[in-house]
Amino acid sequence: MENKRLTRHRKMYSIGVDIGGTFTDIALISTEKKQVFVGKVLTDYQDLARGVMTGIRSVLEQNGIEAASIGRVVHGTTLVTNCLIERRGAKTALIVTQGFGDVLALGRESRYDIYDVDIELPQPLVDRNAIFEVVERMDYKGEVILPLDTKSLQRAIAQIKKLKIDSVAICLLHAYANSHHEKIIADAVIKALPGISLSLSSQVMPDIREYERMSTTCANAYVQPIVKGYLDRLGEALQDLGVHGELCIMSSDGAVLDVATACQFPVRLTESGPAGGAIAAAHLGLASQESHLIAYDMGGTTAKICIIENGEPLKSHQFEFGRVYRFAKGSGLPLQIPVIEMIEIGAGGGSIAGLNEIGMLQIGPQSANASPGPACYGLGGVKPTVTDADLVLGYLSSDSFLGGDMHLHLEKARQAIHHAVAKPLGLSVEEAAYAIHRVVNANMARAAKVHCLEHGKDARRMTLFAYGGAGPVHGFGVAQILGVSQILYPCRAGVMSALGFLVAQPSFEILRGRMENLLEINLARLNALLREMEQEATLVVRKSVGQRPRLQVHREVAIRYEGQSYELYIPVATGVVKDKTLQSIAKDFSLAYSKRYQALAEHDRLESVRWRVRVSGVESMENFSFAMKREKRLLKVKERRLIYVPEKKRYVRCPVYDRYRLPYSALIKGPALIEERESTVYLGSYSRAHLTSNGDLKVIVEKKN
Amino acid sequence: MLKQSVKNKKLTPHFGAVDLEVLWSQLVTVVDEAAYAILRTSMSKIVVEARDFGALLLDPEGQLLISDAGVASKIGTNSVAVKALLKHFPVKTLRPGDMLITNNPWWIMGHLNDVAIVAPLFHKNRLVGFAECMAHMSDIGGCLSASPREVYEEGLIIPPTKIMEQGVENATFFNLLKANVRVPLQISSDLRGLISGCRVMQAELSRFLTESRLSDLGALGQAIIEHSKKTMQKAIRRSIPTGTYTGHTVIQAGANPLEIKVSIRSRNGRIAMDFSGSSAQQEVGVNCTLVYTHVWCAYIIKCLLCPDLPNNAGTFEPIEVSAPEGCFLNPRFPAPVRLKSSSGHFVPDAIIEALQGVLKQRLIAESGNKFAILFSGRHESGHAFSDSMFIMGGMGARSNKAGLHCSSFPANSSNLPIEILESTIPVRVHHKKIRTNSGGAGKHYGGCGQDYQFESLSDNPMIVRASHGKLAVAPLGLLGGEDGAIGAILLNDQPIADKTPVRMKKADVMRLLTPGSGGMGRPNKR
Repeated sequence: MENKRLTRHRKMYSIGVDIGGTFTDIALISTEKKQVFVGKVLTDYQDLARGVMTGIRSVLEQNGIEAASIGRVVHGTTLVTNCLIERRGAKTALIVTQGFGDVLALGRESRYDIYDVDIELPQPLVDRNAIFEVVERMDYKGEVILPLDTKSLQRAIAQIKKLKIDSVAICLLHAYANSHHEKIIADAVIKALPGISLSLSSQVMPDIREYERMSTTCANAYVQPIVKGYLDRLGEALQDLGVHGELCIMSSDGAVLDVATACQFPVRLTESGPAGGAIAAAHLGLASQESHLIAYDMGGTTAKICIIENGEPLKSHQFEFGRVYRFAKGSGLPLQIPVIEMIEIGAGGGSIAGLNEIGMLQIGPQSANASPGPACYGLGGVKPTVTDADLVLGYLSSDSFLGGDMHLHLEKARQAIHHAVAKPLGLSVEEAAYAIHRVVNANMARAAKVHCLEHGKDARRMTLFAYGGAGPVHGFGVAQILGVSQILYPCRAGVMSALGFLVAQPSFEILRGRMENLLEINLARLNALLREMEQEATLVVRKSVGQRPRLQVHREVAIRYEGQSYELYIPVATGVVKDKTLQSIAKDFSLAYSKRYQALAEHDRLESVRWRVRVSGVESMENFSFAMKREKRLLKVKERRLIYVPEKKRYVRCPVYDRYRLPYSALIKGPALIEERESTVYLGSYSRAHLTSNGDLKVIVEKKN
Repeated sequence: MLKQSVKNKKLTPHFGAVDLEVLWSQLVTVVDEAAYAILRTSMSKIVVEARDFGALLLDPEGQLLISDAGVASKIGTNSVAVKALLKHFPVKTLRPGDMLITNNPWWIMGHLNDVAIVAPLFHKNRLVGFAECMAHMSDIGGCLSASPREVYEEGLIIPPTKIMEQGVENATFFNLLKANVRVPLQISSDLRGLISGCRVMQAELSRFLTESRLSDLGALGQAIIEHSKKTMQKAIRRSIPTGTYTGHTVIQAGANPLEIKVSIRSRNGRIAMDFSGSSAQQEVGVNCTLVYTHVWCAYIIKCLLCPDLPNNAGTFEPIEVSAPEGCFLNPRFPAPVRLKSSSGHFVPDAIIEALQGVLKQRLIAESGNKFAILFSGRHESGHAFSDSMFIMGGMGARSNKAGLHCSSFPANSSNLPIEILESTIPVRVHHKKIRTNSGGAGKHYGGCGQDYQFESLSDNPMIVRASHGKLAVAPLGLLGGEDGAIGAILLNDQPIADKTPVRMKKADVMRLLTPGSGGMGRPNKR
């Protein structure tokens, strides 16, 4: 199959496009997978599709490639996230079971910070006056307790008409177990209001827990008309440009979807950009024979951390958007979607440093953003940031920042640090700058460690994979604190998400919440359910891969001891589930549990909570290399610069290298700096770096003792 | 031979501000790890969903260094469990792998359901501190049907006992425990969760000390405590001028009133709170042992003055709490204490009332607290169940904004999803709504309470007990704000008294109305 495509005489290309907060990134690769071209344009907030077109056109023109030779466009965008955070979604109504119209507003009724009496909670996406109750009831087994009352439904529809609603979410109690009433309601709404957007909780995310399902369904409804409008426009614009290849959309779990499915479940696109980064990290890690990574992406305002195990990013089904308070868990609105598991920390290059209420040095979550930016940008910022500290320490240079396009003002950085940190702590400016650098590293390391822990991983056995504008400057310090001995710095760190889109695979996951005693399950019903789920997911994936390629089916079940609240996922072999299958699931669970928690439960009553089926299109990833061409040359020092070496507690003149001019044979010992356009790798003492065959930089951190 | 860490109180430890911050934050992770282990291995909904547990790290003298707790009552502001246990098991006799257990309400969080496991922590054969992991057990035996008059009736009293000896479980203890509780597997699993927490803390602490090249926690612990103490003292000086402030709140009116009176003296960066004049020890379990009274005093002062300061002995050192023996806030053994939270949660209201004149920017009017609902019975299959959930009242209006609807203050918690409740307990919920207009009017309105109704589907009679504590007395408004609505419990439309265990038959309906909360400031200024 693959070979056949390659023998086509005309060169074909795939293109990855990532709309980020500041830039829209483009990555283009030939189907022989030998050549990679990248480009960057400013994100066009007036018209996102126009921005994408500008970007694609410029990369095509620069490299003399015809639009007609683009076979595939994979797209990811912050549109959904921005729409949710900035509350620019459609006018949305919600239909719920009578008696439960306040569930959305009440959430889990908890305070995410128990000490803050001035606490504020995030506002729900749908106002109370647009929530309508209908008379009906199911129980947790999905049995109808009270049939749907059509009068109450018609009343709700009349109100929805009156309010001029664009999109309707439907979320009934226990609809994860039986979707019948939701479907009747959907039919009635469509009949009364043809063309309106509809989101059913039994389709969007049929899992147990009414609030989380409702929140997710509302978010889906809220963004649906906007995403659909945008993707339609983008499709047309691509046609106009002469790109006739298929358009695929990146989802939060690192899979690609067809446009129709993306429009049906737009909430699944929320984290598409970061997912692309994680997919690229996983791919590049494997190319360097590293399959266990901590992917660490530190940008201007935040940092993201993702665990990659056996070459696959960890996945989760819970996500929160728009955290209103210091990125605290619980301060955002929950979305239950398949998502690559990541944590976000409110600290990046632009994060402001200062003393907090308790007299400790605090960095972030306030950020100087792009404007006024760090003090050293000279754009009016007077508060010291992480970037200012890195400049004072010599890790960044006044003259080579962004390839020299932007001059940094060292004196302004020093002044800002002096006033806000050095003076109040009684330190020199240099000591204060190092304190900022060190504390931010410690915060990152702590977050990474806690994240690893939540997943039962030992950070010290992983490789740190550092990217983003500030990741390479801080990766070394973070690795030291974590006890990590190996760091990878990929090339083209600035367009990682777009690169990830190119290697992502078509895949779709469906889940169904069902709480039952594992060994007492009705097998006929379960097999019917699993079959239905597999068919549904297959239908979606076939839209992207066509009929021929083989599909992979992965099934798993969430199991716990009866009464517990946390589950472990246990794989379920394909084929018909029999009693024997259930018993082997039980055995696998006990083993996994005792290994993970070093604890044994005393009873063996197991509960299955939800079933997941993932269907993926399988494409060979061999030879999919992002390697850069390198000339044979000798290792040359670009300059020697004074940089702060913490082990010596003073500045030392150290070599600075150009990342793009490193020969494959290079072996560099720290302390040293390796500069590229968008970032700088800081290599501390007791470390050595070399290039992998892929062109990435691998650093070995030696134990100090 | 095992040696205790050297006390070097005179030798002032010196850590630079940044060293302290970095090491402190790493030490917090050590305790976080223990908390994760507890969370992931416990069975009871109250531990896992409502996070009613805590993990503490203490120094060799039993002073708190770090605490990780999802609910205020498990912060361990003055837990004396470690010190008390050491009287029974002298330090010299403790070996690695030993763990001690107790649920004495006068040492830890105030009732028998709260159980603590304490493990000595060793590094290079020296005792370097203690782990204290504690959680609320959803059943500890005892009677559910009547109001106990003595702590003996409230369940199993666990005297200081070695639950683990050099890594080996005390089988006799587990047998005894399991014979005395209604859901033995659930409870012994929750205890194993705490054991697992202590083990993780031991492993992680050793790793931390090795990596940081510290021989013990002595100097670091002292630096943490010193820094926190100074910060709290500064906050007290800044916010509460020297003087004496008095406040009070009524929890229960009528013939047998329950009142809290507090007198707060601020001087020189220290505050002393005394509860003389508060009601006497009660014959029902609303008594708060002094450790529990202390928690709410320390918690609210931290919220009002210095919410970002981490919890440790230094943070709480400048806060002194006293109550005359025999008062319901410092009862004598064997007073019944099971429902301590239904009165202790109102201690902050009295303190806020006292300080309203000086803390104008961070006030909060009286809140509607929450119902704790206990379900106890048998499934059709014959399996026993015993679990709790919470239904929140309104959170009082704040100085500059309205209160939150259905959000418990001061004790934080989470609700139990209706779909989870219905699939684990034989009930069907009819409705769950915000009680409109239950929040007191004011310049800023109080948060509203909720209206929650469910029906029993259980063929076997099921015991349901809704405890609130302050159902019939309105949560007061502050600075001219109006009071919130009172709450009620209705069984088949008939009012029943707070904290009464009810035998619900199939098709019986219980309706719970949580109180709203007080408003802030005069309403006409709005």
